[in-house]
Order: sequence, then C-alpha cells, then structure tokens
Amino acid sequence: MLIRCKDIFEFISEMYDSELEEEIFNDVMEHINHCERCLALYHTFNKTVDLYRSLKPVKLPAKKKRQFHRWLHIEIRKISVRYFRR
Amino acid sequence: MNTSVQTTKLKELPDETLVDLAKKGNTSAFEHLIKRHEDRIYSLIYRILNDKDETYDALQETVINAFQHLKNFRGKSTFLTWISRIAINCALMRKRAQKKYAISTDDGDNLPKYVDISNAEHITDWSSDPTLSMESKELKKVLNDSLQKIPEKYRNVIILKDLENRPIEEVAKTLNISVAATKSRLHRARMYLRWLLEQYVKQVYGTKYK
Ligand SMILES: [Zn+2]
Repeated sequence: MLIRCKDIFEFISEMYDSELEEEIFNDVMEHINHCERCLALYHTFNKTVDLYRSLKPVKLPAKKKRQFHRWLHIEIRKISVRYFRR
Repeated sequence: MNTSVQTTKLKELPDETLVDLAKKGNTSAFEHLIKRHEDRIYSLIYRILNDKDETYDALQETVINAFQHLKNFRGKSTFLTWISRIAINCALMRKRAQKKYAISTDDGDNLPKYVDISNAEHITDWSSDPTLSMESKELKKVLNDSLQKIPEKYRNVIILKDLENRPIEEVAKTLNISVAATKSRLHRARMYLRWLLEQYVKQVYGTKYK
C-alpha cells in the first residue's frame, strides 16, 4: 500500500492504540522513517497522549471520603423510606 | 442479625447481585456498590469539572440519581458504565451552568482547522524536550487547562479513554455513540491536544522550535 503524509494523519491514533493491521503498520512505519515531517508528528502525537495517560486519577481526600460515606449511609436510607415503604 | 457477617458477604458479591438486592430495597447493597466504584466516579467527574467542591456535589447528585433510577437499569451494560453515564450528565449540567466555560459548550462541529494539519508546512519535533516531564507542576496545569479548552464531545471521549483508561467499547456505551464515532472523536481530540501542547512549547521556547 502506498502511504502518503495524508494517510499518516488518518492512522496516527490507531497506531498509538496498536490497532493497525500489521501490513499497513509496516508500510506506515516505512513512510514515517523516511519523512521528517511525519516522524515529528508521530513523536509529538505519541508524547502528547503519553503525557495525558500518565495523569494520575484524582482521589477523594480521606477526610472528604469519610464525610461522603456518612452522607451516603444516611441519605440512601432516607430516600429508600420514601421509595419502598410508602 | 449479625451485621458484620452480612457486610463481609456483601463485599464478596458481584455488582449484578448487589444491584438486584438494591432494587429490592437493600440499602447496604447499594452502599457497597457505590463504595466499590466511588473513586472512579469521582475522578471522572473531576476531569470534567476541574473543581473539588463542584465534583463532590456532583458525586452526591450522581448517587441520588442512580439510586432513584436503579429500577431502569436493565444490566445491558456494567453498573460502572451505567453510573458513569449519570455522572457525566450531572457534571455537564453543572459545567454548562459555569459561565467561565461558556465558550466550550460549542458542539465541536467547527473544530478548528489545526486538527487537520495535513497541509501544515513544517512540524518540529519537540517530543524529547526535557521540560516535558510529569514532575513539572506547570506542565500538569497546561495539560489540564488544555483539556478544558476542547469541545465537550471530544473531551468526554479522551477523559474516559486516555485519562480513566476505559476500553473503547465501554467509552462508546457510556456516551451512547458508535465505536467508530468514538474512535473518530478520540483521534480529533488527541490531535487537538497535540496542537495545544505544541503552542505551549513554542511559546515557552520561542525560537528553539520555530
Ligand atoms: Zn510524510
């Protein structure tokens, strides 16, 4: 398959997720290794997604979590009384 | 009744069983379900709202909403997928009410040209710049701020897929769109974020990456 720069822009996300078929993947890599512009795109694209993927999940602070559990326990019972024991 | 034994038992039960029990009015079962997934729901909402207090409020809203509509949950998706959909809706309602994000409510169909940069003259490789390290607080802020700048329909996809690490099929189910649409939005979101990061790098380093 003849790969043009335009195709790289199309495939780049699937490449990141390793979803390209092997044959296309090889052709794409062949192009990237010979095209400075696509190589730069490939590197900066991967870097961007890597950075986002390395952002850690945000956690509920311990104190807030205890507060949440207390609220949960009371609130659900309150609603339940209204819903199940009319 | 020995409540500690009952609690241990509930902990071991799969989501589906807890859902069934909760539907019959077992509030402890519902509490367990929420506790099992609260971290992921909280994180998901926080990515959208970027504000701790708002996130906490939206979390409570999500839980109440989920409990009240539990009878509508038919188990066609996992409980986490189902409650994530509620969480996203609660978060988006709040976000739309926040004036500061008024711009990003655009539906994204006019996503700027730079997502399609196939005609760009030149692309510089700034990927190995040593300052692009996750140790940098400034970089984290830039990444989070950029996320707030992209249109909602793209942001939801990237939050679920790349930040919350959910499988693509689950992302599609959560957002109620096809897998193909999910992949297409993911692609555009990533391209957009790449471009935004490039603007930051160029702004900081000026001539180095011209
Ligand atoms: Zn090329």
